[in-house]
Amino acid sequence: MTKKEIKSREAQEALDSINEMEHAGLKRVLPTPRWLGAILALLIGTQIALLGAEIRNYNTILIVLIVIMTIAIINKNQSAGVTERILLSKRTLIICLICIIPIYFLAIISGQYLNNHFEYYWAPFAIGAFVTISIWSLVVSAHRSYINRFNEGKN
Amino acid sequence: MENSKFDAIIHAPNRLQICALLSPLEQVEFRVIRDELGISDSVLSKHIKQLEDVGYIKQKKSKVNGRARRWFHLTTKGRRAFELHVEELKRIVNDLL
Repeated sequence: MTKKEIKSREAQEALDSINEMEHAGLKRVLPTPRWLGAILALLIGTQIALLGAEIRNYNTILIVLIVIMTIAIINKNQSAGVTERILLSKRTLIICLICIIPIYFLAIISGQYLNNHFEYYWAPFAIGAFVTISIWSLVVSAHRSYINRFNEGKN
Repeated sequence: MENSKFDAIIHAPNRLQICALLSPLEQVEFRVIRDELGISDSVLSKHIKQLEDVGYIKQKKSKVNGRARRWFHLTTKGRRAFELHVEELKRIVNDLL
């Protein structure tokens, strides 16, 4: 075996070891279970729908449940000992967060406006359903991208 | 612009594994790295210190349920060095083919 062959074999072994560890790392990152994402999406959608329809009786309990679900998701990541790498830059994330808050209030105000001025009683619920489906789609696409990354690492 | 560069600091088996484990993730806890590599706390601390000294990884301390935990992440410099090292390894393998 030539020196070049030995060097190449060592390099291949190092690459194999890198793939193995990258795969082990990704295996540790459990994506947010889809059912947890579905419940969170449903809670936020319901809250927007109810506030849009000006039904405030369940608002406090919904907020408490949303906070509990969010804490559960954060705690799950902490106890796993790893956190997934977010490929978006910090700036993009801040912009996304800044955009989400007005969108949330806009959804509620739109529901209230359509309900009060045009008597579209179904409008707040349609907006709530739209928000639920949007959040659910985000959860599913995040889940898919994780599975793709995991399979890439495996190959 | 260079596309590959062999890095002697990263190439040591344990340090290579640490960087490989950290590369697809945001941050990893000390115990997870130790368990994945199957090495003792002291050996891991030694390798981590070497990587920290050259600025390839950084640590953050946090308390979870009253217990102190150490989290590690690759710095931009470390990520770049690791990527260049992997490219160099690939180049070495491909050169023989």
